Amino acid sequence: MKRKVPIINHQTWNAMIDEVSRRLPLRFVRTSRRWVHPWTIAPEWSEAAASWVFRIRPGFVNGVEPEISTMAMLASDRTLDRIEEESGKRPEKKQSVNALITEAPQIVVPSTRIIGKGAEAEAMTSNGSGDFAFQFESVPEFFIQFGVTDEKVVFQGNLNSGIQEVQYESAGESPLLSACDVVLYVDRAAAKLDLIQGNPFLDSYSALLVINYGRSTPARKRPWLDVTSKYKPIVEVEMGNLLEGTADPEFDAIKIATIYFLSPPGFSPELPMDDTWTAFVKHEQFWNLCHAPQKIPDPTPIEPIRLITGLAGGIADSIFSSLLAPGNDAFNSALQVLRNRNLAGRFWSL
Amino acid sequence: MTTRELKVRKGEKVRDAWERLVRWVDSLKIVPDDGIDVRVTPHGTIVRVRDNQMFRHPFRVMVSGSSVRVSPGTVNDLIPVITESGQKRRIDNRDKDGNREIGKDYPALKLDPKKASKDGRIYISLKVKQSVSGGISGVQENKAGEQVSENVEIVQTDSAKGPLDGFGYYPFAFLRASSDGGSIEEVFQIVHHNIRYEFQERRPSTEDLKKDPNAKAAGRHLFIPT
Repeated sequence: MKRKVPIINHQTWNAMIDEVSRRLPLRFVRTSRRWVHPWTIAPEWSEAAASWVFRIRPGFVNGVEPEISTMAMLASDRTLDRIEEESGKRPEKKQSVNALITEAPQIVVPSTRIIGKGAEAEAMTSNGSGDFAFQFESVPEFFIQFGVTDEKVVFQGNLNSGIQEVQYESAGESPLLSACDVVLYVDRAAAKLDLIQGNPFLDSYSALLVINYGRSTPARKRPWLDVTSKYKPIVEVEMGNLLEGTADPEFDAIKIATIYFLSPPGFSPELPMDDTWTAFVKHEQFWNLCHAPQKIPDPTPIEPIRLITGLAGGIADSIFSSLLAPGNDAFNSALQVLRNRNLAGRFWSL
Repeated sequence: MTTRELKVRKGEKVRDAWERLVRWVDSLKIVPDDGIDVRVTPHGTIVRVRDNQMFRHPFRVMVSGSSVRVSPGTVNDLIPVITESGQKRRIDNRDKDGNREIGKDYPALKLDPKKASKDGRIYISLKVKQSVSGGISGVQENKAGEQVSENVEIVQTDSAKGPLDGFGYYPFAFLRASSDGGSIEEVFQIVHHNIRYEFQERRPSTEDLKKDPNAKAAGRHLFIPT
């Protein structure tokens, strides 16, 4: 039996559709409340600067946000207004300004290092049988899956027979990899050793070693960020160098992140990076930070160490020799003070 | 497909219109997945979108109008207090004995725009009074056996360091007030963890006092996450 299809008035049908449209809860608006950790870096290509730039989620050190240098054209109005209020003049577009990272500036990536093919060597090693090899920064495993290849250069032969460079060619179409590091700095006082020469007959000492805590430049009020092609961790000055007048580092530093840039396959190494490249970020810090010297500086000035040596003169070399003499009474006290001089600080998260 | 396409003209076949309607309804079907729960009940369908990314951490500063609330957290296992209408109240909305405050909302710190810095900075900070032993002073045990102290307080300051009045300060959040001071434009959370507090003191030695009889003790307040 053929079933009859009912006849519905078209106005009734359309009224039903209107009613259904009104009643169905089909529109969802979801506001993202995703938590983004401090120091999160978001790189992007800037048409205005014709360069790669990045923004950074504000992080704090001891509750104070760092500043970073950028071009005025990439700074926010808040930064420019603040500078105009402080200096009485609004910066020009291409002028360098110090923006606070809570003012949402864009920061230019000034220079990068190459990793993998085309990279510069970090060191050279010998295997003892006459072969020399350069050491390169290794390509992170993540980028090997994109086809990035390691740079490999080996020297064969020895110094008598001659050395031949053997370069292993990698696939020409492999993408290029560049990187830069974002580093956080905090100023601190540094120890500097001053040597005051004396006359053993008149002054009862041949030299005075005086440790001064200070800086060659005024300390910045707040921490600061810098973008560098390759961050090298700070090494404390050795005692010998300190005696020769080298000062301790005047800041503590910690790496915040490395930004990697990956080219499309077959990109010419001669050309600068452009918007066809893809940026990846490897974060090293995920929390706000605290910073403090490892120890509280001595509240009273350090008494100068008097060195009584058999040497007339008092040049640094002779002083150093006398310091090394275990019989010298001043040796132990000098060593103690020099070892304890260090005001290097430590970072921790909060 | 839009609802306009579901409408019919006079004389159009019902079956065609019906099939369009069925296709439309099918296209609107909500498919459950990891982040979406769909529950069909006799009264209707409940769709719940789970937001797993929400990070509920200690000492989260929440601004509401001209006051702030701070989610509960601990400093040396102590719950900080907020002074509200002249009364010190624990931020976990419990009284001194650890009983829940019935009929009261969580305490709120009233913001004072006059206490903002020149550039509109307001810090919601922890204020700690140190004890001789380097911990927090005035710690007592309440009836519930909890350690309590009113010397761990949340206050408003105009700088991250806080005033130089001998107390230890650490900012939980930085608030940027509008230029007229009438509203809060941005909130930057600084602390995400419970805290351990230590005061390190370096007292002048006998030798130091010989050199300078007025030599004062140097010290520092350390705030460490737990």
